Amino acid sequence: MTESMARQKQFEELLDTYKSLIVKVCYIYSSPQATVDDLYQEVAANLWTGLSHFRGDAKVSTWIYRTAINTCITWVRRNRHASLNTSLDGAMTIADDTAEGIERERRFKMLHDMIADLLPIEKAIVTMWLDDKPYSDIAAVTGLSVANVATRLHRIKEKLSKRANTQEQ
Amino acid sequence: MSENNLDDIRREWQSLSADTKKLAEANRILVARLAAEKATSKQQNLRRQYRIFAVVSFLLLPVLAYTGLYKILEAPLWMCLLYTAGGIFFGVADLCFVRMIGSVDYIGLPTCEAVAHASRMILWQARLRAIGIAVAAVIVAPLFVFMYRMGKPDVLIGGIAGLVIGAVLGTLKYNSMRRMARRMLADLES
Repeated sequence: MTESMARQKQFEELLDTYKSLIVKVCYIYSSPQATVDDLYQEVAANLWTGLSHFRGDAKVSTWIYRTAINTCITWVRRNRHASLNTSLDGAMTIADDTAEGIERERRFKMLHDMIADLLPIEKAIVTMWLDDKPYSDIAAVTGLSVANVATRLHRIKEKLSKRANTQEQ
Repeated sequence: MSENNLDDIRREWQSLSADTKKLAEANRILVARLAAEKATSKQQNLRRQYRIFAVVSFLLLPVLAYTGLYKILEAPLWMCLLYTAGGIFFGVADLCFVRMIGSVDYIGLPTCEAVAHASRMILWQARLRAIGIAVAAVIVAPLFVFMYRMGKPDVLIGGIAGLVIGAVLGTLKYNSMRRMARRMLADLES
């Protein structure tokens, strides 16, 4: 196996292992201007570029979170990449046809809408919190202190609760 | 949605998994394209794009000014030089932007730093747009007057209307970019 093929294989395995993490980050940052499709491709391109520089000082998941979040934050619409043959907008099995599935979809849509107005850093924190990441990991990705992450998260939760109450009224 | 509900939704969120079939297909295409170097990052694309803009600004405006204005329309030489100066200004601005994009690895930085850099770049770009509109107005205004004197008043009217609309839209965009960047920077400073 040539070196480039080995790299390709390694990358495919990496994408396969962390696909849910990447799609979730892309879903949180998606908007009408930046679809999950667009963001996913950009994250993959940046992971591919960064793979050769990744020395393993940090955890792989931390590196992937940082790459995915920073990519989504600094994403700008210019020329579209040639699009994938497969649309990823439904890449997460959020809903099924059951009443429970429809209700779940509604709640995630509501969560997405509430998060949409948050600042980029707040979105990063909430994304990792939703995935149950420890404060130390959130701090490593964002560059904030652990105490700052805790304070910000408390404020974000209050903000989200308030917004949800307003929406429900 | 109370804090308990947030925790519920969080538990549901964690149980979500990606559609393996869809992603396997997408990943296969993506990896093949990346390996063939057909897909590049936005940062690389943006740099390439602005390099092309710079070359076009350096070459196109002076050439158009010389052939179109000076030779065909017989406009005064100073107008031709004004366009050349405009081309140099826009070309230099584009090259500065290329340098600015390339100077930072936005992806490898801690998110706070990436946001701070991105916000500063948005502010810089917004300022440059505002200056660009003013420079464009200065270089096109004499052309409108020149056309008016040549017996084409419609060009002057259309030009003024275009300038006013452009200035209004540019100011709105400038303000929204500035507001967004300042909000992000203020949040980081807090």
